[in-house]
Amino acid sequence: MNSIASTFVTSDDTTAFTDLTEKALLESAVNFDERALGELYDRYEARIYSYIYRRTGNESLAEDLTAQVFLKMLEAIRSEKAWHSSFSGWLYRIAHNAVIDYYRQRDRQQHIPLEDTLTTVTTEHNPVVMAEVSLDADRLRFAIGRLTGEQAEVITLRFLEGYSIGEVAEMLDKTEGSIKALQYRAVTTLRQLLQHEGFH
Amino acid sequence: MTTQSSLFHSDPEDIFAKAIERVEAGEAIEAVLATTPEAMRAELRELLLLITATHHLQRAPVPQPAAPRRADRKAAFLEAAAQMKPIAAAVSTPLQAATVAKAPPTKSSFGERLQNFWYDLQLGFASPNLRLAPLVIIIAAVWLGSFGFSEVADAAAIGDLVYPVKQWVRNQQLSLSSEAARGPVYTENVTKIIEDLTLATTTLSAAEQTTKRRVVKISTELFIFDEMTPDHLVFGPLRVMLHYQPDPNRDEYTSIVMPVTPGKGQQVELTFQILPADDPNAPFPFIIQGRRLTVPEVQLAIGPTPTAEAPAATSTATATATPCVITLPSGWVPYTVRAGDSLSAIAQRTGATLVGLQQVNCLVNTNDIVAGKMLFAPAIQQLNTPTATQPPLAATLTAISTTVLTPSVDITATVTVVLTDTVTVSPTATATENVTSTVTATVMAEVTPSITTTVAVTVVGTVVETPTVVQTPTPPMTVTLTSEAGDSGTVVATETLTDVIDPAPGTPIVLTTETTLETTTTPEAEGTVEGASVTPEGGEASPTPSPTPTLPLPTPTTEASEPPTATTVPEPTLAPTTEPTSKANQEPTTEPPTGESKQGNSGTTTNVALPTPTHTPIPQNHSPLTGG
Repeated sequence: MNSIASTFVTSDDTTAFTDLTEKALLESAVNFDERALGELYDRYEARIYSYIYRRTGNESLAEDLTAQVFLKMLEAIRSEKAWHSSFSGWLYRIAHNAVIDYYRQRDRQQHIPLEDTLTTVTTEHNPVVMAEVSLDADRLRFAIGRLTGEQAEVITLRFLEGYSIGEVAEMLDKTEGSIKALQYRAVTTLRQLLQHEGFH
Repeated sequence: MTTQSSLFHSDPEDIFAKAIERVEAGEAIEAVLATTPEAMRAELRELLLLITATHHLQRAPVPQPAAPRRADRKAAFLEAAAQMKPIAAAVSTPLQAATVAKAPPTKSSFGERLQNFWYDLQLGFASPNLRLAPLVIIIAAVWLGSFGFSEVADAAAIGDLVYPVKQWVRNQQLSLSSEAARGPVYTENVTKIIEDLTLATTTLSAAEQTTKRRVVKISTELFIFDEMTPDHLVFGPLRVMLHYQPDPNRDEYTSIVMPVTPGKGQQVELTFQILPADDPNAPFPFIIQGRRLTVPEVQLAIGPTPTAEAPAATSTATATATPCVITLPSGWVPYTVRAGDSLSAIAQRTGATLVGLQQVNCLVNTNDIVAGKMLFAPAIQQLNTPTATQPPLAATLTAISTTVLTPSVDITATVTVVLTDTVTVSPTATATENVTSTVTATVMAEVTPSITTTVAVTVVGTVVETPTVVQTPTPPMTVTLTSEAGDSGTVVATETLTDVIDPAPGTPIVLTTETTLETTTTPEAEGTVEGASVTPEGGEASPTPSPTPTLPLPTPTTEASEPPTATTVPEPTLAPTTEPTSKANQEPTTEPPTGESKQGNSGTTTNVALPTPTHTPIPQNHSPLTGG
């Protein structure tokens, strides 16, 4: 493995970059400045990975897709302002598309990814709820995959990742009102999808 | 709002959001529903249940990959970025280059060098000569990682299931390399392919011994076409027959399928077959049979390919790369890298391509430039073409052109450099405004004391006053010309520099000419035009931001102040003579001047010129005004 790189990845020279605003960082990143790109990677990799993991439930798949997202970012970052006003939102969009493409490629085979740790939905918290809900991670993810990009992002970030409305608004560069509207539309659509699939 | 308040918002989205808040805060769903409008309850219940279900999924933490694995992934990412970088810079539209080398002022150049060194090391380069290939294979292996394909693939032979993976890795190497580096990578690939072919032919021979039947192996690869002889296609050290045996046990041949004859240097996709070697120990080159050849539309840009040595029968060959020699294209001159420069910035400034700069200067790593380093680049002959902004704004544009002359032959040589800078000013001036353009040419000669420089500035265009030619090297020379209202013209500044160069050949001489074009509006004299309505402050978008005192209403009083240059501004009392000239040049379509009074703007020169009415010639006074 590339042990040389891992030794120097946290070189002292990157400290200056951790303080940069994202705007300044992006200005360097479009020119493929390694430190700027490295700093961007550090800032976003965990979140994108987490997001994709939530969407797919598979660790190694999430790793691979995360790598893919950052490669796609490299390809597109050349056209300056590809992300318009929100780099974060753009990156999440790429992540969303990567997940969708992956699922599309598998052509809805029965080859569902390995179930994540949530195998047992506990009934202790709210027996009423549990009795009425027969939802598992797979079906939820599958249904989320059929939402629009924005809806899927909001659902995942709000309810799977647990970010607040304000936080999600910032990450996707939207107003709080838009996020509220999106979450409402997303959840209602999700419900319809799941009903159709025999949720209730 | 308290959480217990009745949710009488008209908006279901708001109700929903509020309900989620409360449930997340721990309230029971039924309690929340109790305060919801009846109409929404059923729907809200289902939505909240759904949310609750997803919360259960949320509670499972995201398993994080281990730190070394993360670091590997990051390294792979940065590696990919480094590889894409030269391609990116060459392809993208010129961006304002943010530079790596721009270190904080306190850093020494040694610190800069050290910084660059660390980054090279980060990316696995110990020196520009280090090859990309092994690193890319490693990275590719990491990506293929979890399947363990990398080790298997590397040992794959033609015909093995995973041989395509090996081919893929090779081709990735090629496409991911920078254009300049592709040549050696391609040669290395060809060498490896030949190794595979050698192995294949040996294997086939062994099989033939055993089974008493001949079998072929078929493969497809990308090659660069050299030429076609009557018998063969030549790809470097490879010879490909123009036909193949569909059945290797029968002596019958089918012609190669080749819809297009490739041109020299083109990449082709060749499907070929390998036969058992007649003599396993026969020295290379052996011959393969071509089955099919196509020329793909998308061609990789591959730099010069070094000649590969044909491998010996048993040993592996190494491709010999031609060391890069700096050969200057014509017109290229030495260029000293300045602090803050990046290769793409230099390319943009000099008009070279990034790849061209890299190739000529034998740079493998585009970061390999530091302040003070001598590169070669095309001579800079650029001048910003300023355009006059809408009056009454004042625009000052400074263009600096730098010419580096390197005397190459005689000790005393007279070099005449003619720089013709065309500065076009097209003021969209109405009849009520005058536009003054000031062309300042400053020639500063550096380095060699024995240069005599003469500068002649010729201004061509709608010139009212003839400029004065000034000797150089200093001080700067100012040429002031005033266009009359309604004119739109082109000011051409031609600078002729004649140098007698005395220093030793090879000494760089820097000549910098600075051309400043200023466009100012000038206020009008009042009330001299028939049919004009005097409107104070007409049409002025905003008061002038300039610190210079704005002129009061335009009585052409002379405010004496020193012109910023040592040159003499032409005599002010040219009015009567110039009037007819300017009238003659006046656009017939100008509006009748309205005699509006406007506030003067700054530049360093402000001239008061009076409006030229369509008819009445009025003796006017030109008086130069210089604002602070």
